[in-house]
Amino acid sequence: MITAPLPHDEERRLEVLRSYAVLDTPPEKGFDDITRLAALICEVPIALVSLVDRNRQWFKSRFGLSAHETPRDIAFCSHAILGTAPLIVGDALQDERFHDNPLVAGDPLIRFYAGAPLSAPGGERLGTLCVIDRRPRALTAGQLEGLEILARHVIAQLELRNQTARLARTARTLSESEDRFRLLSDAAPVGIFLATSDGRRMYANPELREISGQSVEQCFGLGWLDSVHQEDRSRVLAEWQQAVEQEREFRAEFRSVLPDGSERYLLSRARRADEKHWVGASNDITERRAIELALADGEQRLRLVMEGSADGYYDWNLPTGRMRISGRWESMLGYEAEEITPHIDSWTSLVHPDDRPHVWRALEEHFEGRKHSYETTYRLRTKSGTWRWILDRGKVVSRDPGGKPLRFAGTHTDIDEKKRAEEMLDRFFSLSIEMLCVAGLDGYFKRVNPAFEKILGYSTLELLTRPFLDLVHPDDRERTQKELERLGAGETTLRFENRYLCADGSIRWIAWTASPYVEEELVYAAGRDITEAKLTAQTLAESEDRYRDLFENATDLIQSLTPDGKFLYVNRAWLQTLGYTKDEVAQLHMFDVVDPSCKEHFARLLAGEELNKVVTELRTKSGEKRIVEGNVSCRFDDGRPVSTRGIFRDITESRSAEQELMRSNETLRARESALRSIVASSLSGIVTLSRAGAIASVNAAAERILGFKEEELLGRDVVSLLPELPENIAEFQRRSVDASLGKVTEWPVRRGDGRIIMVELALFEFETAEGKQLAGNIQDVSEKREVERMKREFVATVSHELRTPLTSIRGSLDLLTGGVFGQLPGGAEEVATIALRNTTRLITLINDILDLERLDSGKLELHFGAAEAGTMMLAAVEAVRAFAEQNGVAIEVLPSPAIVRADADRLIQVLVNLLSNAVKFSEAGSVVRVEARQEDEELLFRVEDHGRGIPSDYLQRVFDRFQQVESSDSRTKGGSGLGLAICKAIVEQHNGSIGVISEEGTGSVFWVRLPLVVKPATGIRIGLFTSSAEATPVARLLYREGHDVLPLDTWRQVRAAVEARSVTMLIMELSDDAEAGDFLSRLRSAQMDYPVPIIVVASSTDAIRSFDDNMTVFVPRGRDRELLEAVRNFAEDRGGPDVLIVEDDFALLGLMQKQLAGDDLRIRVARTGGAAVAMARKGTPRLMVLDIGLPDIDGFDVISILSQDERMRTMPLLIYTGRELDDSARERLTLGPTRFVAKGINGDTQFRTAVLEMLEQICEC
Amino acid sequence: MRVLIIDDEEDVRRIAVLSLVNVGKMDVIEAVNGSDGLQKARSMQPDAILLDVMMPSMDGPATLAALRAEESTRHIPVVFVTARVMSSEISKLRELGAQGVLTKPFNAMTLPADLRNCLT
Repeated sequence: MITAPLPHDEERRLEVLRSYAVLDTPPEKGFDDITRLAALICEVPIALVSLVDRNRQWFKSRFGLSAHETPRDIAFCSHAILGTAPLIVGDALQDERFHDNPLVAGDPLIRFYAGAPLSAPGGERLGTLCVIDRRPRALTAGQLEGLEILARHVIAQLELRNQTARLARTARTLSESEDRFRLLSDAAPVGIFLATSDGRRMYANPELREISGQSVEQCFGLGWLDSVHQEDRSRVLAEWQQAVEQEREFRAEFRSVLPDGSERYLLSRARRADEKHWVGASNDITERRAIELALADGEQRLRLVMEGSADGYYDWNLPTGRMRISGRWESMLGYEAEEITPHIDSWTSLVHPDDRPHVWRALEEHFEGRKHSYETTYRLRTKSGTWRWILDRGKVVSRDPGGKPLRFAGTHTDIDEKKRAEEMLDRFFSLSIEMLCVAGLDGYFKRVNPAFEKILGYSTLELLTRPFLDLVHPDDRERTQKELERLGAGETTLRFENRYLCADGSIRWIAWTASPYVEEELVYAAGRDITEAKLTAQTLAESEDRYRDLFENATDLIQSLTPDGKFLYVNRAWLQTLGYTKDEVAQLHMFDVVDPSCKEHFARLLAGEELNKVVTELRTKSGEKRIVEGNVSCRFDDGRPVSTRGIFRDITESRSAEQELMRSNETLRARESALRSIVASSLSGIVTLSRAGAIASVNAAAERILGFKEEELLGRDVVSLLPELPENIAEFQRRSVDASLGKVTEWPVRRGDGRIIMVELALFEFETAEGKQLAGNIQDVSEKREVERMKREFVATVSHELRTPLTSIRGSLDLLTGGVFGQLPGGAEEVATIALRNTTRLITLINDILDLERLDSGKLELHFGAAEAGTMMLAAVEAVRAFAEQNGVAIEVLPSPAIVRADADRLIQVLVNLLSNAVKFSEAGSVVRVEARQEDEELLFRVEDHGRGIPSDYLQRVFDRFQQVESSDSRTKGGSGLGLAICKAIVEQHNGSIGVISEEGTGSVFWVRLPLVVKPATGIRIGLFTSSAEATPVARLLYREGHDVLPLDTWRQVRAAVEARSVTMLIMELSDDAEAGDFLSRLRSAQMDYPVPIIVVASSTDAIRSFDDNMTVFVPRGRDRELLEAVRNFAEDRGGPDVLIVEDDFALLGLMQKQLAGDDLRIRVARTGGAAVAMARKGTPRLMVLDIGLPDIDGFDVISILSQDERMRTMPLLIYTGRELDDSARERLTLGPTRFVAKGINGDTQFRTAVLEMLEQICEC
Repeated sequence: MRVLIIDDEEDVRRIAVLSLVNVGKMDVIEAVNGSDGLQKARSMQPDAILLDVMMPSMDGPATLAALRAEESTRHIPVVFVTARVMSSEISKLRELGAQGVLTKPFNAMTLPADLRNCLT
């Protein structure tokens, strides 16, 4: 058998074969008909359509054969496809290629084969149409031709098959695209239609049906015309026909009538799509049309308004320069209508040359979009050549796509009169010698006239930048502020006078008249300098006051009368002596008081005579007579008497005293002798001294005490009794007397026998006819002092002397009971234990007695420090824990954040005492509770037990010494009875109090109250708002620094503390930043009139950033140094800083601060010139570092303002700038010692070095 | 550990010795006054010194000063034992440079431990 070779185009052939996609498809009638016909024609039993695949032949159709395929290497067809002509094998057994072929040898036993190749249109032979017989034979020419024809049919059949498949595919794609289109057109918000050239519609989308109000059917054909308004129909149709004829776009606006009768405006457009079809779109433009109509209407109306308006109107076409101007525009300038060429150049020529620059600028700013609209005032020339003030306002109304203005419209308003009135006012304002101003209710002048500058001496700039209250005399500020508030309430001020501080340091009185303009928060005020008048008046008043004062306080009786005898004036002494009131005096005639015998005197007086040393009688209201002696005179004006004046002395008493004296002398003498004997026999020494210090008298006891005889003492200077004489005796005496008068003092005295004793002296003063004298009551206290000293020494030695033997006793017992010498025999151990217990008790007793003694004598030194309530309670509980456990009593402690300034050891001692008492009196299984809580400004400790309580009759005495509740309970014994007395003494030394509340049978509460805020070491009291229940590191830190901390738990407490001004500042230590923000906003919105500085300790700034002002400072958690710095800054805010840095660059500022951070300087910063001036005024810095370029006023201005201030004229200055400064600039930038350091050039350290050097120089000065 | 006790009270000294030896298992040297103590400290070089405050002639602070003044004894830690119990006095003693201050009467059962506490 010979296997057929592969055709030369095998790969291509296989490719074409596969493109027919026919292999392994089911049988098809077309092919089956062909094989059947082939078998009939060739008269054979088998006919096949065989397709030769890579490794097989597959039969698309088979007639008379059951196999579907056979391997290619045995296939006859493999040979047949090698040539274009059919392959005929007459007898396979005779053919060497096939004789041993299995298809020949076996089933289907092929003997005859004829195969016509199936040639594809490209020439590739895909297989054959073959006929087979089981016996040898031949084909007639006709049969062969038939076979060949049928083979071509097979190919045609395959081609057909292929095409059908392609068509099916195309059909599928087409339908998808149509779907998409439909979706689009269904959803499109415009009406879409398809029409033929004659206007018949083939399609209309839902939107079109919607806006024309037609159904699908109505839209078809020419039905759409039915919806077009009757009046528009022919026009639309004509338009359509024209569009078709001229092959241009169809476009028509028409009304569409909806079924409900309403009309809509449609804009319909269509374009030719192909030969026959037009595609179109229709829009509903009803609304747009309405707006357009309204606009057209509006513009017309506007034009009418413009023409009739008092304002001129213009519309400027920028590219052409042409304008449209209203008649008023022209008439405003005195021109007739249309007299001016409506062109921009006309306008330009009319603008006042001086005004042109700012008008161009305003226009430019608007054109370039920097200003939203254009508004300016300027002068235009009128026809008559005068100038008229115009307010010109306008706006670009259209621009080209590049933003270039195309059209500009605006109005002219005639403001000439207003402007001239303003000018007049301005002239008046600046020429007035009165101080005229417009001031804001915000405390700043908005405008001042030159009179201000002249009278007060400040520059206008300064007057406008400083709060004017600063300029008011401090004593008048409150009044002025009140007056300002009245004005703010809408009231008018008439002649309000206050003092102003002038630049030269003088003070001037200004009288103000002012009225407010509340809506604008402005006050219009006129002030007049009334200093001179005021001074004159004041001098007069002062002199009058002086005299009146003199008269009023004189002890003499002074009266002034009119010539007809009415009282003009009487002094206090007059009223007192004669018993009248001022009102009564006004009703009196002189002779109601003066003896009528004086009528003659009075007449002489009025005649011009001066009467001296007249003695007369005056009658008191109650009718008594007073004898007076005095001088009277009369004042004349123009020769006429105006008033009389009399000064009298009441001599009634001295006259009667003389007689009285004689009578009482006897009594006195008797009384004196009695006194003398009392003094003589007194046990205490009595010494009288002259004012000069000489001893005037002594009694027997004094002789005894001082160890001198009377004669040795009399006349002797008392100072000589001192063991050592002071250097300046007179000075010493004066001081000693001042220090000792009315008091009991102790002096060492050298007795006559040389012994030095301590004398207690009670010095007092008495008066005799010879003048003031001193007397002293003296007592020898040497012995008393000696006893006291001995007692003190005794107590001190007791400590040592008792403790030493107790040490041995206790030590021995410790060792015995501790088993150091082995187990003690039964009885001995018990006895030793008893001995040890009682030794311990004895030691406690000694300790308590010593404590108490020291507390009594004030010798117990308390070591005050920051004591934490929580820690102290825990320590106390720890100390009694063993004792409590032994008694089966539990102790509960509640935490507390409070810190007090106290001696912690001593307070623990108190708490231990109270706790061990509580345990002692509690039943086993019960609970003792100790807590500390803040009540107002006190810390309250409570120790509560549920024991048997204290009998009420005993409550009063529990804190007395050696007091114990009588009881059979052995546990109560063992105390010294001094514990509570010691507690009381300790608490009292802390300025606290202690007490007990108890009910017999239910228990007791012992309480201790301590002042939470003891006079702070630094004077700084800080309200600490914290969410912690225990003392925080911040609280400890503040205490360590000597500040006092008032813990505040609630918003209410914070508010109360701030309002009571009991805290210098607030510190908020919060874990939740959001809470901090919330808290701050509450505090600031509470509008408390005391602006309390706040330091926020938190973990981020976010929550408080919006509160960032100079009263609120944020300190990150854990930065102790920064916190203390902030506290210090707020506390010392009144004083000036070391360095005031004025720099607006934030980053540079930070760098500068950082450089100085390690030098322990108080640094303030200002970022504007205004702030710099304000801060320097608030507290003059030791050194000012100044940048020149600042956002508001520059460095030059700052210096010029500061140089007017006396305090700052010599302030050292460091100019730190990036600018090149010439000599004249440098000269202007000088206050005190001034240095210039250039930014950036000199390197980092230069700045710090300069600052430090300058500060050092200042110190040396 | 070798401890030098300087105390003029014989009984107190005896108890302390008993305590340190029996409870604390320490070696103890006794001195009856300041100068005796100074000399023994010099020659015996103890690890620690328990020094009484109130002694005739040369008292505790004087003895401490002498110990500190001498090269050979400067390094030896000293703990005061005092019958004075005012806190101001105790802090004054501490400021003199003692490692600790124990008060009389001391607990003989805990004295060795108290002493060790002072030294650590």
